[in-house]
Parts: sequence; structure tokens; C-alpha cells
Amino acid sequence: MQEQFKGEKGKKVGWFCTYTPEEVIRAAGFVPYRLLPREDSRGSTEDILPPNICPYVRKVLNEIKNGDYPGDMQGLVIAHSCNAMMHLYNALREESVDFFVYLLEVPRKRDAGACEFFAQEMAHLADFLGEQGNPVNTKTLREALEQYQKRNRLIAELQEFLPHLKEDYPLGVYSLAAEASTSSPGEFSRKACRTLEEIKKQHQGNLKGNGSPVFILTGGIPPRGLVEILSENDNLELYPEICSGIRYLQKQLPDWSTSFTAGDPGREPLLEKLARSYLDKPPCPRLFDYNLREKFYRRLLDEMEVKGVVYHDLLFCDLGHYDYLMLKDILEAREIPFLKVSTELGQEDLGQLKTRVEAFMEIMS
Amino acid sequence: MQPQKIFREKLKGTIGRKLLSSPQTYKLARQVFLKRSNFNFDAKRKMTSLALEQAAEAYQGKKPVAWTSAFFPGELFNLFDLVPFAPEVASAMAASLELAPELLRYSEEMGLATDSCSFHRCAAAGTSREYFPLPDFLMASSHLCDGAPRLFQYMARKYSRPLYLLDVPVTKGEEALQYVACQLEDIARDLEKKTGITLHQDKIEEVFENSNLARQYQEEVNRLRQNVPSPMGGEEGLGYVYLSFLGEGHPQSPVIYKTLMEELQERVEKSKKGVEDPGKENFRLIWMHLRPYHGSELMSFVEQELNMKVVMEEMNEVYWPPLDPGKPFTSLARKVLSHFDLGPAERRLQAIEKMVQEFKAHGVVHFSHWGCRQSVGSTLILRKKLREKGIPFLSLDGDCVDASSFPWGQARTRIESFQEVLEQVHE
Repeated sequence: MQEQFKGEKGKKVGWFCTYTPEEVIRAAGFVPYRLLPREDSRGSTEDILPPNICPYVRKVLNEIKNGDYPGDMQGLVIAHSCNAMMHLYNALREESVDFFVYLLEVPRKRDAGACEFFAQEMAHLADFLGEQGNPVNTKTLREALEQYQKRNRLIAELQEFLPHLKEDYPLGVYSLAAEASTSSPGEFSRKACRTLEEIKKQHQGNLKGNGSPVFILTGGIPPRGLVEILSENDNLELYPEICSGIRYLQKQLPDWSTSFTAGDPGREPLLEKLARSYLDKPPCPRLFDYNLREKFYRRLLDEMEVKGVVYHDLLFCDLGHYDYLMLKDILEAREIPFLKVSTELGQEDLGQLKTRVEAFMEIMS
Repeated sequence: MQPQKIFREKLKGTIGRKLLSSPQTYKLARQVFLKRSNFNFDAKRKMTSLALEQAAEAYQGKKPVAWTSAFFPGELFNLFDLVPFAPEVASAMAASLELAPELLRYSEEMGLATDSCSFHRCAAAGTSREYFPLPDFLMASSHLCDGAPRLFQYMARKYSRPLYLLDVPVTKGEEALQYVACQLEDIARDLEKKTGITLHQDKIEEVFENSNLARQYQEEVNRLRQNVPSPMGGEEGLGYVYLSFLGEGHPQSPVIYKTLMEELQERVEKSKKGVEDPGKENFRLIWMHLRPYHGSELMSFVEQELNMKVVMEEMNEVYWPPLDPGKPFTSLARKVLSHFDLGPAERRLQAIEKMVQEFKAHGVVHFSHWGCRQSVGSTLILRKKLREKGIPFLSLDGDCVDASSFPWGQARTRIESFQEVLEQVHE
């Protein structure tokens, strides 16, 4: 199965939620590798998880049970971002997997206390991973942070050229996020530099995004098939406000080089800054500060020419169900067309969806 | 006709909402129910009185009202003389008054997914239709439930009222303890500002004394229920969950538990002397999660027809150490973090094994409320682990609020099959 998986050769550590600090995993010498659900996975998890648990969790568990994961996987870091992840952790501990499974607590708040707690949790993770791989100290952590900083700058640049990079990233932001979250930062950056150089050369560096009208895909992690259906529209740009899209790519790391100029600051201040940057990334429905999520939605609607919104209501995701109620209010008040679609991340959902989505896209166009 | 039935019939008319929103209804209900209803225990009569008194107070609006979710440490309401109101409890009441189907339909119209917890769907609809008393504050905890904090966010947004959310990690240790304690202290400091009440040590001592005494009597009640035959069944036992939701730190809670303890003591003694027949007890069961509140015959079928007595409920387990008034917030944080359902499934498993042993139970029934991912999510692991230890386990799919999601025929067959398993295991 190993050849199915892209990414740099090397020991991988799998992760799921975008609140997982990849930089810490990298600092320990591993390649962070996001496990995204595949639509073609077969089999069942009904012997270990009931059917009313998050489809993402059930699919990923099923894939792991079937051995569909990178062969050089050394372990998994499960961020306790929601209840379903706790069940995934429980279930994986019941399976005879030959890699470690680590549970990382992630706060739902963003205040100073939450940041301090998250930094402490990251330190525990760093210690644990250090025992499995390389020690996570100031030096290794800084190196990893710099690699990710460079990668993030390149991601931001690539995003501006995405409409002209259909061959590399056929599903735009979604493809870019998928590649970035399954590659080492070094490998990703090398490829990104080449891509940017070529596209700039081809078009004399004069080809930035055109600020065209967009439609937003938001809600729970979607099946790739839904993104494919939505990407078929040439008139409107897809803005995937999802954790396998924008919410992953817009994670901003602080500038380490200017933060600590004199001497070795020690690992903990770096982790505190890292914790802060993660808690400040584009908010997801799991965060307790609902005003923040509401403001975030309002800002998107203010700053972009949004023609419509597709909400992916992932079955059995309580966080998403209530997020939809709030968004619905906002969209109704602004008279922006929206469509709610529900899936269990399976192929079977897509046939029915296509007709509905196409009809909705016609309205938007 | 039973007073409950008369009340239920009245609510079906168009005046139902007005009736439910009137404090007079609860005052009247208190007089009628308490005098005319048959209670098996005086403790239950006292608890019903407290529930109706709290509901009347909440609708009166003379004192600030705090909406709360399950497992939020209720001592905080009593520290600030807030009247607690639990939308989830109101949903159970709506189910028992046959109002749930209408509310569930309405929640669907609102756009809330039907796979959400029906307690929460009813509560969201009840909020939207303004069935509930106006909140001054809303308080919810993340532990054991993803849905409740989000529901409370929706409610707080509707009413533009302060919302206090408690973020409870599943990891143990000093850091988690401090994280939760600091949040509780922040909430208390903000409540001081908003209510104008300064928190004094004597108030903390009074409320914690109530909480600790109730805890102590509750432990005694549980010890008495370990007797064979047990002096109290599960239908009765699950009723006292109300006190865990809305009675923590309330002066009536120790009174009610003490009354129950004395009544159980008397029953045990009479049973030992052969003065009172406690009824047949073919098998003793541990009950996980809650029960249906929509008039299902489940509990009476299990306990009275099949004589399988529920001797202990997960919800009645005393899992936390006594509170220390000298360290109020750390102490409350410790209580919150002590819950055995938090974190890895083995914590819950260990709690079940302990209950099975202490209560000399023959099997475990898990009422698998469809919308409760937290509880249902670990049932297959629990079943596997308990079976390995020779403890029969039944996960009974159903819904506490939505009667249409609990087909009785199927459930009945599964319970009968479980009885056969118990007979085979224990013959």
C-alpha cells in the first residue's frame, strides 16, 4: 500500500485535526502526514464504533484497520478536538496497530490560560516524540519552525497564482492543502519554488488572482467528490472555508527570527508562541468563542464578492450542526443564497448531490 | 384520573405554552401533585417539590436565572443565589408531557440536523418558541458533550446574555486541574461583577457543606442499594439524577438524600425481618446513561414484568472527592475532572466493573440514546471488554426524548434475549 502515498520518504507521524502542531512533529525528525478520508475505502468499523459516530473518524479507522496508511508510519497524534476523536483514540488502542497512538489535548478557548495550557500540552507531546525520534529542543524546534515559515510564505504566494495552476492543483486550494499537509515542509517548498519560477517565467510574473466572485464551501470536512463537483464551475472561484482547505492553509506562524534575538530563549517560549499562533488561526466550529466564528463569517462576506454558500453538514457532527444554524441566520439576513448538503463522506452520497449542487450553481451564476 | 394525566391533557391545547410559562402553573402543580400523587418515597415527594419550586422561581423572574447544561458544577449557582434552569431537563419534561414531537418537528424546520441529540433539539426549539424562562446567564461545560456548549452558544446568541463555557480537558494532572480551576474562578469573578454579589468565605462554606452532606448521604443511599434484595429500583433511582443537574449545593439536596437514606434503611430492615416483601429480584442490573422520558414501558417491563432489578445507575455514582471550601475553585475543578466518563474508555470500564462488584450485579444495560455520541461511542468497546470478564452487556438502542426512535417491539425482544443470556450465564 505504501506506493499509494505521496510524500517524502522518512518516518511519518499521522495527524488529523489542523490544531495538531506539525512543527513539533517535524522537530522530532518525523514527517507529519495528515490522514484524510478516502472515498474508495472498503470495509466496516461496526465491530468497534457505532454507526452514529463521525464518518471521518470511522473512515480513517477503517483505512487503518485495512492497512491503508503509509508503510513508514511510526505513530499517530490524535488531537482531542472533538468527542469523535476521543472515540478514535479509544478504538485505535483496541486495534493491534504497530505504531504509537498519542492523545493531544487541545483547548476550546483562546485566552491566556488556554494558551498556557496548550503550550504545556505541546511540551508533553514534544517530550514524547523526542523519545520516539530526535530530542525536541530549541535548535530542532527553531529549525522546524523556520521550515514551516518558509513553506507558509510559499503557500501564500502559490494561492495567488492558483487559477493558473490547474495542472498542479486541479481542485485549487483543496489540492494545495492536501499536498502541503502530506509532505515534509522541505519537499513541499522545493516543489513550490520550481512551480512559482515556471509560472512567473511563462507569464512574465504578471498573473495574480483576479478577485473574481466566489462561492464559499464551509462546514465539516467534505468528500473530495463534493469539491470536484463544486470545482467544475468556471465562472465562480471556490473558497473552501474548511479544515482541509483555507483553515489549514491560513495558519500563520509568528516571525521567530525577530522574536528572540539574544541567546537561546529555551524551548518553552517557542512553544507558547506556537500555541498562540494555533489558537489564532481561522476559527473552527469547535472553538468556544462563537462571536469569533460569527465575525469570521461576516468578514469573509464583507471582503469577498460572495455569490453563494454551500454548507457541508457532516453527519453526526454536532459542532457543524450548530455552526450551520448561526451561518443560516447571517446568510438569510444578507439574502445570500445557500445550500446545505449532508454526507457521510461516501461515494454513494455524490450521485444525489450532483443534481442539487448543479441546480444551486445555476442560481448563483 | 391522575393529576399528571389531567395536566398533560391541558397542555395539548393552544394555551399549552402560556401554561408552561406561568409560575402559577408550577405553584398549582406543586399543591396538586404533592397532595394527590402517590410517591413510593417521601424523598421523591420532596424532590418533586423542589423541582416545581425551582421552575416557579425561574418563571417568576424575581431572581437571576442561570441556564445550565448537565455536569456544569451547580455549586456556582448557589454561591450567587441564581435560580438554575436546565433546558435538557425541560426536554425530558416535554417528552413526558407529550410535547416533544411538536418541538422536534420544529427543530427540523429551524435547520437543526435530525441526528443531533433529541434533548438538545427539543431545547433549541423550546428556546426558539420561547417556552422557557428568560435567562440572565447561561453556563455549559464541554465535558462529556460536544453538543451542549454549541446549543448554549445558539441560545446565548438569541438572548444576548452572558455565556460561561467551561473547557474541560480529558487529560489528568495538575495542569488540567489549574486550567479548569482558573476558568471557574474567572466565571465567579465575572458573576461577582454582574450580580453585584461579593463571594464571601462563609457562603462558600455553606454551599460546599450542602454539597458535601448531599454527597455523603448519596453514598449511604448507594451503600444501602447494595443489599440483596435491593431496596430501590432503577426507575426510582434515575429520578434523583435531577439533583445532580440542578441540586448541587442547594440546601434541599442533603435533606432529600437523607430522607431517602432513612427510607431505604427502613426498607432494608423490614426486608431482613421479613415484615416487607421487597419483590422478586431474578437478576440485578447496572444501568448506563438515562431512560426514555416519553412514557415508554421500558423500565416497568424490565423491573416489574421480568423482575430484573436495576440496582445502580451510572448517573448516580459518586465519583468525586468531598469539596474543600478552603480551595473552592481547585476543588470544583477536581470534581469536574473526576468524572469517569472523561477520557479513555478504560476509566468508564473500571467504574462499571466497580459497580458490578459492589452492587453484586449480574449484567449491565446501556440505554444507547441515539444522539449521545459520547456515551454510545464506547459501547462496543465496553461490550467486548465486559464479555471478556464474563459480564453480560446489552446496548439497547433508543432515544430518551423521541418516542418514534425507540421501537418498543424490537427493544422488548432484545431485553428478553438478554434475560436468556443472563439465565445461561448464571444458571
